[in-house]
Amino acid sequence: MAGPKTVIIGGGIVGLSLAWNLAKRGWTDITVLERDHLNAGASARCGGGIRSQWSTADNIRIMKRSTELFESFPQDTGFNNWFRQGGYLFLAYSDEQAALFEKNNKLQHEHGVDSELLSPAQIKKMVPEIDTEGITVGSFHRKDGVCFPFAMVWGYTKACRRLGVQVLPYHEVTDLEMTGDRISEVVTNRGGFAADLVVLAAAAWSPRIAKMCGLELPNHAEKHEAIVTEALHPFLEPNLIPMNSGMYVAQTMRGEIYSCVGLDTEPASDYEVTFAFMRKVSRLMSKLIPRLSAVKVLRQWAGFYDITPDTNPIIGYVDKPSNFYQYHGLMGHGFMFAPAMSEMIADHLLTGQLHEDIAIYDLARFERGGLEVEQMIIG
Amino acid sequence: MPRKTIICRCEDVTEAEVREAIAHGMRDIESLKRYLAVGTGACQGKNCLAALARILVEEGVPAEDIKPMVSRPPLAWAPLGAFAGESEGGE
Repeated sequence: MAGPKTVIIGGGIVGLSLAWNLAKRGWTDITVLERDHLNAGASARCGGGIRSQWSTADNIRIMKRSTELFESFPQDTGFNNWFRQGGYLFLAYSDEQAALFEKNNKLQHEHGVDSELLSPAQIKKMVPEIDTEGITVGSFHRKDGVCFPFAMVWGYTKACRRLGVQVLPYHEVTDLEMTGDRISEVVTNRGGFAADLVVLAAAAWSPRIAKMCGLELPNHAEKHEAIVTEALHPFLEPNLIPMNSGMYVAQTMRGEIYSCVGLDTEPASDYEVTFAFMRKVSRLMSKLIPRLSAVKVLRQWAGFYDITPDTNPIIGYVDKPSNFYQYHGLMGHGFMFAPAMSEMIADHLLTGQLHEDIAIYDLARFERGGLEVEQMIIG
Repeated sequence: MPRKTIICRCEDVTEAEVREAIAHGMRDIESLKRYLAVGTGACQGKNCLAALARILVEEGVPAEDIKPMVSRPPLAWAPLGAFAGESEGGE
């Protein structure tokens, strides 16, 4: 099966992983349009964290599968993704947070994720550098970890191109040409692309593009900042999330310490960074691991979360245009969800069968009141 | 320049590796940075930038198309503790 003439808007991990899944299963006419150079948007600005510790069943199941796909990525694509499985260690600072961990762990176990609760003494043993003051309990899952974001985008790009997918950087979509109730052409600054099927995978830029054909989306962009330090000898095995701040701290395979934490909502008009963030994250990191206060910061930057009203993604066809497939709204965790979600979405596009874990994410759900809110979104 | 010349001393990247990456389609400095890690180390690109631009021109990229990598704080690396201080400003 050669498949339809497919144009995917967005050359991040979401669009690329979908293109690769479709090409692998026989589609021969796929174009991925990226408005900037590759690795310019959210996929390149995220922390690369991969975890199955979530609070809803569908998120747990999807991430269990995605973790397997991050593990097999080097074999599947021939590109090393520098995936290091040191586990994620969530830290609770109140009885309410401890109760949430217990509830989540039970649900995670039901879905085959072997997370475990750790006492402050066990936490101290695992990471002796942590100041455990105020910690009531930890939640740890060994198979969680951290991956090098740039490598995933390069790996998928190379694997796509080997299968004949056109991956085109510097192609910014400027219009969606309609014929009847279908998009017939995706117009860019470098010419038009005729399409039978158009997939919108542009994360925080999706509402702006959807508007070109009159489709209103409820997503909005939120700016989040991050820092990275000089590289150190490996010492921090798990990625840490102290729930009193929602900060994320991880040591990458390159040895750097990466950290991010939300500020009060920042407008997402540009990538400018703030001193308020630098101060906040430095204080939190130095409090959690006092020895980090001597470690040098190399760089601070920002990226966009793609926020939806109920914290869940938007996936599937819409009424009009009838050939316009939505694949966005992945909050701040599209990087880790994309490998498994793209596999399921490729199933949907190839066979018409929609997996029950993603069937709930149609755009029309917001008129029905939305979905259960995920409790474990951080950063 | 001999091909083993180190272009990025922080991340230990050679001239041959830069030219190979350009041959693989990395025809701007931001892409080279994300492919080879040039400019992601201690100096944040202050040492390799001019050499990268020169090699891109030699490989046929028009000089007027070459943009430097985006510069971000801090200007020079500084310990976390320096930013975590309790002095003026607050949150």
